[in-house]
Amino acid sequence: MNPQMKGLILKEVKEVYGRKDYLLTMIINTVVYLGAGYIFAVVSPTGVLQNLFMEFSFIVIPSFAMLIVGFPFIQEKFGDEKLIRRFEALLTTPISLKTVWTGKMASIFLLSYPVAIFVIVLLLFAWAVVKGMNPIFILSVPVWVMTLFIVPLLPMIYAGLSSWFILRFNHPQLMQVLQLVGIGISILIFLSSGRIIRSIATGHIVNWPIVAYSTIGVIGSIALIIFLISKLNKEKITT
Amino acid sequence: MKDTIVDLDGVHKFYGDFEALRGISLEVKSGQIFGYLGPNGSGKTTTIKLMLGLIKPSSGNVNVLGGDPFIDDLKAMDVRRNIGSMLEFDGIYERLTGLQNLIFWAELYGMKRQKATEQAKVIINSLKLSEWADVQVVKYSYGMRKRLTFARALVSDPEFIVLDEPTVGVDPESRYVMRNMIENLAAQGKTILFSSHDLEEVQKICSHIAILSKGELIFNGPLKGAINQLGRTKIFIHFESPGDANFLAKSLREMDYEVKIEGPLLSFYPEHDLDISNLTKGKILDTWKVDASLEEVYLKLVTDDEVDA
Repeated sequence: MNPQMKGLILKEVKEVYGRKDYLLTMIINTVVYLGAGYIFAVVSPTGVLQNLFMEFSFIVIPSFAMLIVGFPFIQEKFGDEKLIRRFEALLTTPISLKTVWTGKMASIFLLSYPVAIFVIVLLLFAWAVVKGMNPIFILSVPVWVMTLFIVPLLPMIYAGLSSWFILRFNHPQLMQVLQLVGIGISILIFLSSGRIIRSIATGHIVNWPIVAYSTIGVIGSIALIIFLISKLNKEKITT
Repeated sequence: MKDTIVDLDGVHKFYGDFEALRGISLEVKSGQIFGYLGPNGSGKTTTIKLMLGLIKPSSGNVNVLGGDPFIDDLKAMDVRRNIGSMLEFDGIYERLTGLQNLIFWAELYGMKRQKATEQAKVIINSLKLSEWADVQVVKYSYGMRKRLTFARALVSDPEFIVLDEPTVGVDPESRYVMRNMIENLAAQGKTILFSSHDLEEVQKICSHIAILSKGELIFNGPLKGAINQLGRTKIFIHFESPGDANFLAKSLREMDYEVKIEGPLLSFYPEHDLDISNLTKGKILDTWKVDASLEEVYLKLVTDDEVDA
């Protein structure tokens, strides 16, 4: 990694770690998601449906936590920085807009992915305490691939698209609109996912074909975002 | 070292239908402290953004340190590596310390961590901020923050330094520190573009000036030449009574002099061979002259331009 990118990521992360509001967010997350894990474990029926409940909780809750934690970082690192015209200062240095964007996205990932991991640990704890079950062995490998590597990219795709909107347009309420859209899409996915997934999966919410389709979808989305960012005109950001 | 650091050739810049720059041609030579002046909205910031590669011209050429700074290719990166800037919006991160800020910016210019740290410490010391180096910027005073922003412009040891309103709102101590630093940098052969409304400061440090009005250059040349050519020495005479001042004022006005009276104090711009000894009556308490200033030259040029328009 070149020193510019490294410096940018380290700075973005250092600025947040140890901050009181970040620590407070982590404490609130602990309480909320421990509670969510407890409820999921308690209300889950027995038998096959119990495993589906468990899969669902591991696939959806950590990434939702990541999405919620990511909102302020998108606001701070793109919205606020554009508003206070810090992008102007950044772009006077020998660094391209693409590098700045990549550094900021990497920092958002580094700040929000640990939250997803943390929530997974909380869920493991909740299932172990409430039902005496160990999801590490119960959940299948595709579920873990989905939980650890693919679904966490969805909040990042949201962050990438939001950042493009923020950099491209200047509407003062843009961030609020994007947050509403983000939450709205999450709820829609939450409500509709069961029916869709059950129609294509057999016995589990996630199997290898679903992992494959999801990977293709994620790669396509990332490619689209990279294309949009590469087409951004820095003049739009600095005037 | 390149002789011409900045070369703008027939640069126009439109924002929609508004023409911010109307065919600017300007050269800044190596080693100059170049004052870039003009009223608000005259196009100074637009010119600076062009020089820094933040925007591109609608037509005409922008050449800084031998290249176009706008396009994000390797050559433009090389150009930008040698430009330091202090803009109106400072780019300082309040939650980081002063030293952390400078290290970060040095790294953005491509320095490795160790060198960036060494360079940041040298600059922070030279701007007399070493005691505050490990304090979060949010605790800095306005003047200290300005000095840190100035340090940010210098941390990459650039060849060309662009300073946009560096001394606005700054306390005399910070102003003194920054002025000394600018003069030292010029002595080392660095080129400095100094954009400011603080004409006294510009007069103190700049060797050349350009004045912009409504997107057009209305003056471009050496500062001393501007003052000698366009400035006038002003004479002040303090009479014992206002009546005596009025008496002289009447005579001078009859000779088409522009005269200003404030009680017993009279001031006017004399011709070289004017002898007023025959025109005065009453007792003169004091007489002094004030040399031509940049402020006077600037106001004359800008006002004339507005009248012409």
